Amino acid sequence: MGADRFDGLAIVGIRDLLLVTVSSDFHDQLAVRLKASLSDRVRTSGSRAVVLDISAVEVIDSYITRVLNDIGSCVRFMGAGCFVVGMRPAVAMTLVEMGIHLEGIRTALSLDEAVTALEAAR
Amino acid sequence: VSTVAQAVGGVLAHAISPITLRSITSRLGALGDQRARQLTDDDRARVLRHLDICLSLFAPARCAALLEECRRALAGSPLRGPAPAMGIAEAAPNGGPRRIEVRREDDIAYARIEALGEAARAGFSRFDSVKVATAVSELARNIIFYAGTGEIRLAVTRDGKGSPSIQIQAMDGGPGIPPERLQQALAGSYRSERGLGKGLLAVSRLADAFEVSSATGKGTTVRCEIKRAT
Repeated sequence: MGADRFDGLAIVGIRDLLLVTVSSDFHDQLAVRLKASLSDRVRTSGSRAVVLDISAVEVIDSYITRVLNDIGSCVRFMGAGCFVVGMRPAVAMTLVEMGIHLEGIRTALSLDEAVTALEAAR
Repeated sequence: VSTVAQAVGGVLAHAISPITLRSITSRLGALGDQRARQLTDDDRARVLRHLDICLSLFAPARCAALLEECRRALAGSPLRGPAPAMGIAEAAPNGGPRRIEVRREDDIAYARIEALGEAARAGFSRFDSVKVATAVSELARNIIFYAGTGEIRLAVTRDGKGSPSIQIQAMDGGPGIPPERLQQALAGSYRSERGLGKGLLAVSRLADAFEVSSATGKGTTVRCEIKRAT
């Protein structure tokens, strides 16, 4: 994967953390690809937690929420923690209005907060 | 000499996602088909202004650098002859609804971006625009999942005080939704494998007015209205 080639996903390992940065249009194929590749990455890297940075994502609907929930459940089943960080206020308000919940996944305001929470849990 | 769409596309293809790129080049409209060297300075400025808006939205960190590259790609010999009377395609020319074809999974994200832009142009706040885009996203996804293909129309209307609302119409010629299933879906007691119930219910909660008409074997039309919160 060339550094300048756009594929909408950046997965970076830092210590025992997998940091996933999602691009502004988190479309279906990207979500499904993330779901598939992430559990593999958790296994091979031995990461203890996954943090999904969605601060660039403008719109999240019920399907994308479900994929996020699935990712969270899957990562937790594997024994690692999973956080979604940086959700935009408009996205959060819209999900609340729609009556949609993030059940399988923990959230934090920022990457920093997520790391703090993960360290505290150790 | 390449067209504007090709020149700009060449620069942006590596920096932004294909769907965002498609949204940008489609908005360049007739101007996008013009050969880059035939543009007047005025045209060039218009293209760049438009790119500036799009890039600051979708690639803020690299906006300035990308814009400069686009400027270089567009800089050719100056125009000979009269300027072509073409502009950047604006939404809903002559006030008609904006039509978005929904044929592939990509189109869901495309419809989302278009709805976001449409709502912002109509004077919606960021929050209300996201509401509109989310509703469009749900409806486009239902079309792809259950009907295969369809169309979404977006129209802006204004009430007596000039406050805008967006009318969303999602149409397909798919199998239709049986009445009892529709009722269950809107009551929150039905969940399909892929979450149609959730999607429709979610849209009905976002909308100020909501209506589904569906005939088995003939297709489904969902109409809804989202007002700008004042």
